[in-house]
Amino acid sequence: MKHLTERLKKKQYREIWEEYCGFLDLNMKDYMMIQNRLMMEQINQYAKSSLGKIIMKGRIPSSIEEFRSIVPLTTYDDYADILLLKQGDMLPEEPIIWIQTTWEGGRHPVKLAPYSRSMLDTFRNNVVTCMLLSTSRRKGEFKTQNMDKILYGLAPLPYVTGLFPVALEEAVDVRFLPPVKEAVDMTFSQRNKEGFKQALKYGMDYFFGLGSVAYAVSLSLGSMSGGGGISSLLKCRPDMALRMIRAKIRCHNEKRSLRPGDLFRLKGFMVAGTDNCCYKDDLEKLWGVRPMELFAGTEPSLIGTETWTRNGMYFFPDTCFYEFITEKNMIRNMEDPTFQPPTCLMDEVVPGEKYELVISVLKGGAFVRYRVGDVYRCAGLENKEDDTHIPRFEYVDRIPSIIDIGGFTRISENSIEHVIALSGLKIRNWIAVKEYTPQKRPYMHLYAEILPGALASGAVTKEILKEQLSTYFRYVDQDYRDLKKILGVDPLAVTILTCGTFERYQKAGNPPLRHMNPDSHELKNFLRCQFTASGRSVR
Amino acid sequence: MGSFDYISIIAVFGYLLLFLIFITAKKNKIINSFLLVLVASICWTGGSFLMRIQAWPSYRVWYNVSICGLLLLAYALYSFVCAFAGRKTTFLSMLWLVLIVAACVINSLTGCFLAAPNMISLVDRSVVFEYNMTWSVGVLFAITGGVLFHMLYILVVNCRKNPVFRKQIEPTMLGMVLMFGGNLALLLPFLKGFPIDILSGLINALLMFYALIRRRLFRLKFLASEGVCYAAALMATLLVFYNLSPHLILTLQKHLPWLREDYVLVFAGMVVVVAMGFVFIWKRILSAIFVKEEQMQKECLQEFSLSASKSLRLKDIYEATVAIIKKATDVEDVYICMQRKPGYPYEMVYADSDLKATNFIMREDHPMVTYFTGHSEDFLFVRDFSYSVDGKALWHEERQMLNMLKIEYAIALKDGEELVGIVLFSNKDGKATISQGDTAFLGALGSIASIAIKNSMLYEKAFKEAVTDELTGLLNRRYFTERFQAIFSECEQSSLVLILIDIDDFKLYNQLYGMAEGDHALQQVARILQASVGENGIVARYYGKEFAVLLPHYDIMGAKLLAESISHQIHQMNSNKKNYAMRRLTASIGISAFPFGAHTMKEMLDNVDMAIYYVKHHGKNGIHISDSMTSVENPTGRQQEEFHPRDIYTEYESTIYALTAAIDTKDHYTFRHSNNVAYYATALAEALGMNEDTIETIRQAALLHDVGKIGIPEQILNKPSRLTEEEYEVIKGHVEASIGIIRHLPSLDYVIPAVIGHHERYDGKGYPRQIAGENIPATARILCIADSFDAIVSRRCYKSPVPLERAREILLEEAGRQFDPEMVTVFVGLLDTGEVKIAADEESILEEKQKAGGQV
Repeated sequence: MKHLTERLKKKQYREIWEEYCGFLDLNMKDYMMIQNRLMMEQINQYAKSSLGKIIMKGRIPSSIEEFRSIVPLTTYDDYADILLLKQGDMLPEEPIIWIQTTWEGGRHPVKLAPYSRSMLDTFRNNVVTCMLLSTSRRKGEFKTQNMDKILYGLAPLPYVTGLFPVALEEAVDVRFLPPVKEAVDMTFSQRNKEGFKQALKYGMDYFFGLGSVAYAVSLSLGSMSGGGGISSLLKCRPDMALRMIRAKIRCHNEKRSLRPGDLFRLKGFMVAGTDNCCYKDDLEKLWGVRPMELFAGTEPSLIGTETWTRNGMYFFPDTCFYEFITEKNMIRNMEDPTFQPPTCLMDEVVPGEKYELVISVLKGGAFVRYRVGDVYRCAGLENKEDDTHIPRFEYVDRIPSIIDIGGFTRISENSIEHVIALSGLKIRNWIAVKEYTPQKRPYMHLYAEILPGALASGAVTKEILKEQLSTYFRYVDQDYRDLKKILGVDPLAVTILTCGTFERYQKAGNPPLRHMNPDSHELKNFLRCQFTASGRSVR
Repeated sequence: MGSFDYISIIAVFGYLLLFLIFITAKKNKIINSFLLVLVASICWTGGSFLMRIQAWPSYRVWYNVSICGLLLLAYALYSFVCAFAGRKTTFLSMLWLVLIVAACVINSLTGCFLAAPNMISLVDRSVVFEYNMTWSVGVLFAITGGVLFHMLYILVVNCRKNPVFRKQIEPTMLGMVLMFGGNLALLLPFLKGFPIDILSGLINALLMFYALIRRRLFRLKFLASEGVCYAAALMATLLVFYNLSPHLILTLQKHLPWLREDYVLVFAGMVVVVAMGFVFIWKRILSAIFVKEEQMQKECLQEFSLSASKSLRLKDIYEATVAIIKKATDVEDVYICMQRKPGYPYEMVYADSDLKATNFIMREDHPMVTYFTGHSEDFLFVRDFSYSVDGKALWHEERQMLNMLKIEYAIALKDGEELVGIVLFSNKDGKATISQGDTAFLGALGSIASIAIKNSMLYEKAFKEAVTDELTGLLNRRYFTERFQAIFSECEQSSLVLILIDIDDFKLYNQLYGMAEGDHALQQVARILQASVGENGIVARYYGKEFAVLLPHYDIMGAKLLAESISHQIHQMNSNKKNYAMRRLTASIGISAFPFGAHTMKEMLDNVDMAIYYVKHHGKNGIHISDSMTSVENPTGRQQEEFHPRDIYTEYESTIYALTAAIDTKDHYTFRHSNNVAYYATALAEALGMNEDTIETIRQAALLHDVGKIGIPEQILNKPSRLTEEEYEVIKGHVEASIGIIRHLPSLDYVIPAVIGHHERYDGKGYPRQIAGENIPATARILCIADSFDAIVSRRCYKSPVPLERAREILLEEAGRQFDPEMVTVFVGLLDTGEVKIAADEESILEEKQKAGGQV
């Protein structure tokens, strides 16, 4: 019998909580003890592997401090030769599964990350933790039961999101709507439709998806249940039919459209990915339950979760060994790539400070001192509300050099340059900034300066530029294409800058401007420069 | 008595029994509230029964007792639920108590809510009670209803909030439902006359009792306590005699009329006998069910305690621990892991089978170890632990090892707060075999075992210290002699060989490389001996650099082969040193055997001494068997001839001159300088009273000390200006270069210590090894003085010669810094007395010749 299923049957609720959510009771010393011990295990394993010998340059560190001094911070380029060829025998532990994601918005085809059996065991336990916490309203209390039903709005394997249902099914008897085996062969919209149909039939206890996707699905669920007449009611379970009738009456009285929350009372609602803060409020309105955010990625796996207070997340102590680069050092490193930014550990973070996350995957993982590219803010070292004594974080965004839209696509400076080159547009210089609409929806704002000669020889309007760039973004980046297909949004806005803006900005003695997400103050200064006449600086 | 009155009697009996059982239990809020439930039930059931039989003083009194019991029961149930849910006393709960007590008192005094019933006698002499109910009875209903609704509310809220509570309170809820159902069932016509309310009340009490057991608030073994046994027996006796007494009296009157005057005595005797019988039966039954196992474990503990106190041998304690555990529990295998000393891992020192994984170790930071050191608990269930937060820190291989060994349970062996060891229990096929009941037993066993193990460890440590040599870990001389006597007696009918191994020139080795290196060499020799002899004999450090090996039942041939192997290994010991060539150690070995060449222990010892003496006087590095008087052999079996060390040196003279000639070709100054240094050094060595061999060694070392300069570019050697840092480093390299050349001439390796140390300074600031003081070989210290003096007084392309007076001053200034103060003083003395003169260099000779007007 599956472990959690057995415990739920035996009603060992306290034991379940302690097993899966007990890490929330750790103090800093015990948390670091787990971190350090598992990291030493990983170092020993890693040093013996061929990959480890390459990364550690043949040296075998005897302590974590020595390891941190020997191994430089790494990026995917450091592993690409081995991982892209799936050379499992060179890794610390033979992988069970290779998880895939796109790399730099299509410039490189894919990134592959190996998952060992021990990593998957930890992943499974952490998925269960998230599931329990998503139903929890206070410490020690949860509503998870055997045969709970989950509507799952995430991509299947080989993406990391596809691991969630597989891992969960290893631990507990749950029912996915539609079942995972069937869902694999369906398109995104087919899956949603079938899932919703089954939810109406059997009920729904959980909803799990990327924040942005969950929002799109939620809207479509409303519209899906909006139609249909008596025949659709007859197909439903009696209690669901009754609920549907009641919901329709209520909506009619309140003169509004049907919301999923009118039909389903979720036990738990989980969202992953980026930009969740943009969707959380709307999702809460739609479902009547505030979604709980969890933090996962292809390379680091499932690393953190919020709790019942939905107020900041905690990193699992047994998934990765965490290091943090301060925002100041991160920016310095962006400006001067030769600068090796120092890192601090979990017990050295300071509340309020933003950090770029660096991870070493434990339990036979391939990545060490790996820059994930995510920025977190330390929200506090203790929390009275949660009764926790370990650091709590909030997800800020990707690192400034990457623009992530809704957790779907990661646009880098390289990919923009690639798109501009392909489009053949005579763009002299550009800046890309991630901005938000008044409805709090993220988009990429491209400020482009056109070559003066090109203006006279060809048609250049904002629309043409946007159309052409969008076309080529969709061409090079599968994720960008999905953004349009799944979310129905075109996340690009273009502003054509006055000719010579960059030059004027530079002449005014301003500090050099980054192409990607420059500092907001510098951007303001820069934009002012385009309104000055004949090269005179506004400063 | 009515036909169903026995139900009431059984109920009261049951309540009383439970009351007696729980009155002895450890009190807490839940137990107290349960006692209140029992008291209320006794009042209600007992009162109603006594009312029905119109017992003394009057049925009205018993009615009041019964109605108070019933009202109080509602509050008692409420109080029980509150306590079970862990609720604190609130104003409302106090209010309910006050209201109920007030209602009881008022109703008892005035009967204003529900007056005592009227008793109506029927024709068949039976009685019925007729109640006269008015609206005022509603007050009682309102109060009890309020209490019960409040209780229901608490139940619902807590069940929703806490699934654990829901699971624990389930039996109680079922009991209450049955009780209220039973009361309602009174209205059913076919149950008329049957006290279904009383029966359901009793079932409710029993279900509450079950709930308490499930919550581990009561242990069934309490049922077998002395008090409960006697109380139960007394009540059973009363019950029996109450029912049987009329029949008994009739029987006695019929069959034993002559005992009429002693009926009381007979009765009393019968009561005692029956009561004792009940006590016996109750005890036997409950002991068989609950106490037998516990008793067995208790006996096991006593047995273990006894056996542990009888022995001080660790192995005996381990064996006894494992045996007792296996006897008292169902575990499959037991492993004992102990920590040798702080900082070391917990290693498996004992398993109940030799084929078990004895390589199992738990590092000091193993999560189970840190759990035991950081918590007061002395046990853990491994499965639960691996799922806990503490278990998250387990390494994959540690998990695998625990799974592989199927470890189910672990207990800590603690000395006060300090964790000294861990006992692991494994089970067959992963099935749980350790019950909660076993944990107390194992805890107690752990305490006794840790004390016993600690004592025997201390004893073994003290014993080991007393019989072994601290440096090498071999037996010491005293204990060896003791063992020798014992083994000699054992081998009187067989044979016994004694081998004595004496390391050659070990004093010189110590002088050359320092005491630390010498100690290390002795440890290595000890390891070689232990590995070679194994279980076939005993090895001891006999005296300083002498080792003794005792081989029972060995013959001379076997001993000789073993000695040859040992000698060869000792000779090979230093061959793998990479940093610099070290002198190879050799051993002189003597063998004596009983009964072949000696008849007593003393004779054997004298023989090996003589054999060693013989080898030493025949060039060392050999084996001599005293008994057979075979001639000395070296390890290779080559017959060794009489020789004198001086002969060896003469033999090497040609090699030395070949090398010095090579220097001469390259750098004439160095050749002359080497000759000068040889002159000064031999003079100083002679003055220091060194023996002929050492003086010769020094002379040869002096001739060869700068042979490494062959590899140094001439422009550096003869650079007139100051050397740069890099150039100086090149010059410094000549020492190692010299060693590099000499080491290829094994016959000349005896000069290495002097050559390698001739640039070491007495204050430790020299090179290449930066050793200081007496750690620098004496030969090297002599060479250093001679070398420096010649450099000072010689003319070089970059300096003029320093006059003797100034050179003398420099030597004395550097005493204790660069030079050995005693030696340099002797050397200055030689200069002062003119026993040593400045060796003339060629330019001085030339100058003198020019002064004399001669031609060159």
